[in-house]
This record gives sequence, C-alpha cells and structure tokens, in this order.
Amino acid sequence: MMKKSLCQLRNLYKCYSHVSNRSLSVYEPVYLELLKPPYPVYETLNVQIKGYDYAILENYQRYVRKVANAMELEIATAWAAPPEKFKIQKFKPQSSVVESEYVLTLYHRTIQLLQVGAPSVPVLLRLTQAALPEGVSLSFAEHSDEDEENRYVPDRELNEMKKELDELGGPVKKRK
Amino acid sequence: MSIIASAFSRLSLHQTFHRSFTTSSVVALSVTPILCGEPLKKKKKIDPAIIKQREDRKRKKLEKQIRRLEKNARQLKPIDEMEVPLSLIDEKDKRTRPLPKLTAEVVERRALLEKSWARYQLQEKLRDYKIIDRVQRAQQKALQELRFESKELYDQAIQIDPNLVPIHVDGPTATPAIDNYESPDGEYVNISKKWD
Repeated sequence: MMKKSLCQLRNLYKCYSHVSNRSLSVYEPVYLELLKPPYPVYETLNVQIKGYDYAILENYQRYVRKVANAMELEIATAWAAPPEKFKIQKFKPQSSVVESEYVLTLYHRTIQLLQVGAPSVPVLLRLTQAALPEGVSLSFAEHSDEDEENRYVPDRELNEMKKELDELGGPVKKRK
Repeated sequence: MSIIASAFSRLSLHQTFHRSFTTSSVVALSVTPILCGEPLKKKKKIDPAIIKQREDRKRKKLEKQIRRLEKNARQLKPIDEMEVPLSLIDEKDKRTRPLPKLTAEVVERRALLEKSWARYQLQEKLRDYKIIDRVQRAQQKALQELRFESKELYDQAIQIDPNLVPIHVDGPTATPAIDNYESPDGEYVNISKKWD
C-alpha cells in the first residue's frame, strides 16, 4: 500500500515537474507555454460527407456542425463540391436492350476543422457515425492541396504556360 | 561562230544580275539556264552566353505572365444544386398557386404544434449536449488517471493514431444486402462534368 502510493507520488511529480519548470521561466511569458495545445493535434481535419439525398445531407451537415461546436472544436470553413452524376442502365436478360435507366446524383459536403486534439477524433467519429443517416457516407481526412485544387476551375492557359516553363528548365534563379 | 555565240551567252548571263534582258529570237542568242545555287552559308556561331541570355529572357517573360495570371481571382466550380434552374424561374407564374385562406383555428393549432416541436427539439439538443459532455469528461478523467499512474503510457495514449485517419464510413442502407444476389447486366457510368 505504502509502496504503491509512493510510486504514484513519483508519477505525480513527473507529471507536474514540467509545470513547475515553466512557471520558473524568466525570459518567456508564461502564456506562450499555456497557449500550446495539451495534446498532439491534427492541423486540419476534413469531414467529408456524401449522399444521394440533398435534404438529408444538408441536415446531417448541420448535425456535424452542432457536434463539433458542442465539443468546442474550431470550424474553419465548410464547402460544397460539385455533385457527381452516375448513369445507370439495366439491360434486359441475354441482350443489350436497355430495360431501365436511372441518373443518380451524389452530393458532396465538406466541413473543415482546425487544431483537433488527437483524443477528440475517436469521440467525434463515434458521435457522427452513430447519427449517420441512410445512404450517407462519412470520411475523415487531413486536408491536402489536392482538395483545395479540386474546388477551382482549372485555368488551362496558366497550366500550359507553367508546363512550357518547366520544359524550358524552370524559373530563372534570382541573383543574390 | 559558235565560239563567239557561247562567249556572248556567257557575257549576257553575266549581265543578268545588272539589268533585265530578253531572250527573244531577234537577238538569236541561246542562254544557259540560270543556276540558283550558291555555296552554303557558314552557320553563324553564337556565343553560348548570348543563347543563355536569350533563353533566360524568354523564361522571365513567361514567369511574368504566369504571375500576372495568378493574380486573378480563381473561379470556384459551380455547384449545380445551389443554382435555381432557369426553367423554374421562367415558369414561376405558372407554378405559384394561390394559398387557401386558413381559419383561425388551424392557425392556432399549427402555432401550438410548432411550439411543441421547438420544445421537443430543445430537449433533444440538451440531451445530445449532455451525452457529449459526459463522454468528453469521462475521457478526460481516464486520461488524467492514466497520467497519474504512468506518464509513459499517458504519452502514448495521447499520440495521433495513424490508423484512424483517413477513415471512410458508410451509412446504413434501406434494406439489408441479399445474400448471393445475382445482379442484372447493365452499366454504371460516371457522367459528371469533367474539368481538365
């Protein structure tokens, strides 16, 4: 019993030793240390939802926002990506005569969270997954430049120029 | 005679570069065809430094143009569902219907219904908040206890889990999948607009 409590005491000291150290720092203001997030963070976390039903998807997006707000996560932005359209044809048996044809639209929505602490991610996932409506899919990913690029209409002229420049051997190095 | 003629012809050829002439029959002189050949010009050797300079100038020009284009605000892809189709705008008069006059009783009932719905929503929201709060607090408590128990384990526990993100979860379907279902023949094509 005594030994165990001693061990715990030592652990406690280990935990708080860095706290006592930072209050002793003379040259740096204390709040700089305190401003650092207590856990390792995902700099950006994209919550992407896709669904065939527009109204349900929008409502679910609202729910995700609500949960993120309640968990005191920082929501940076939310955006919509252009919808994907699928043409589905069903053939008659043993032939290629079209029996029925459908067009399905898959809508995309993304919510971007900033500075998400590592322990909050599983909680957020469980809460959002539990409320996932029918036919909606959810994915978590870190933000990439490609995601950003996908939002914009590509500028063909600019891309061609960049390609040409690459062929010529890259940008001119600045003289120092 | 022929020697003289050939001499003359050579002479006249020589003069072609200085004046126009005719080879009409009156003159009775036959002329050898003009051979437009001349020794190949020696390729001018350009100083490699100059070539490099020229290329640099070209690249700089391109860079400048790229910078100018990049300054323009980029255009976001249009979102189809966010735009009202033009046909609906055109048919607005046709589509708007006169609403029936509601009796006071109906208005009252609806207002009450709305209020009770709002109350229900509030309760639901509060329940959600409570659950979220409980889960988070339980997690905090567990982490804190772990920290007291062993700092090393705590440090491992708060690390980013590389297996968790990225993750993809599909929602439930209306009906469960049929076992050994043989799907009919058909095609499934993505016809969304391509951007290149």
